Amino acid sequence: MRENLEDLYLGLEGDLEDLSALNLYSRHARANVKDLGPGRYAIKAITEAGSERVIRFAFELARKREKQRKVTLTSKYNMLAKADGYFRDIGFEVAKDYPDIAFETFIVDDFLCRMISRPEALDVVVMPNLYGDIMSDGAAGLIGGLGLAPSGCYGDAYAYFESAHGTAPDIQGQNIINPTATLLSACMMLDYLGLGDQAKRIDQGISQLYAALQWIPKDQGGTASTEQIFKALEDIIMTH
Amino acid sequence: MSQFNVAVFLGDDASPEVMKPTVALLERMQLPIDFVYPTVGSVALESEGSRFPEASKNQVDRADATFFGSTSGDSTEALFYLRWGK
Repeated sequence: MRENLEDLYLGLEGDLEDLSALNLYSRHARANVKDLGPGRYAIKAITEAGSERVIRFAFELARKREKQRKVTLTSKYNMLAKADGYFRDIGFEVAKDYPDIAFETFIVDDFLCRMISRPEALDVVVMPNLYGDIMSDGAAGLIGGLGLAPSGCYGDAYAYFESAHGTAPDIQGQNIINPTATLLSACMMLDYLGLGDQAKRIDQGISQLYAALQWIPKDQGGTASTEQIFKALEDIIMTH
Repeated sequence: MSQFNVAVFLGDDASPEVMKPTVALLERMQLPIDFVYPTVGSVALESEGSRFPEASKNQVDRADATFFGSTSGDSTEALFYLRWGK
């Protein structure tokens, strides 16, 4: 789970020079901002509402899951004690409402090492926007690449769904793009609409397709074309 | 009878190659979903004089969810609307 509206993504950037009147002193750099020389800044904003919303969503998701029922929160709360520390503080507050769900926090660099070395020890993970942007692609890499990773962006009353990968212009028109990420995004959408049984039909069809080892897309080491995969998947889904 | 309405953006480059057949599969499964295709980007600019016309916004708003194909920039207006505009 990644917050998706704020953090460093507000687009509030500019020249360091514009901050000189604020007389900001960096205790880390032991210098006033106006003495840093030419450069740029970007504002990182961690709001109470934005943080609570995504953290609560993570706990609700954990509650729906059958296995570990755990939320792991990560941010850089040591170096960014105020902003990222706030995200973590809100995590501890929200956790009080979910005594049935385990809760733990790791600094983001430690988290990344854990995610790579023992991903099975994690369940639902939640973090601010920038870390989530990076970690989600890393997590996709762990399971075989962006061709497999779906995504959903959930608001209070609306949601949209898209594959985690980009537009793959290098393979356009070659009929080899892996449809798995898009299909799984559709499954997330069906779940969101309350059509969970139909989502399961597709999801299980994809599992069967991979397990059969016959129609593996190129990015996963196979030779199946996009069209062949859709045809095979449709055969599985419509006959079950 | 359809209960749900989904706005679809097919996306750019290789994205329609997976978006179109995915929607086709959902249609063949006879789900209670109507799919609408709001115009966006260069196509919308040419036909309606805006990169993300009001009519497209309305289609997104009226939909229960949006199914979004990856964009290399041509449907960014819709993406930013979905993220910050709604």
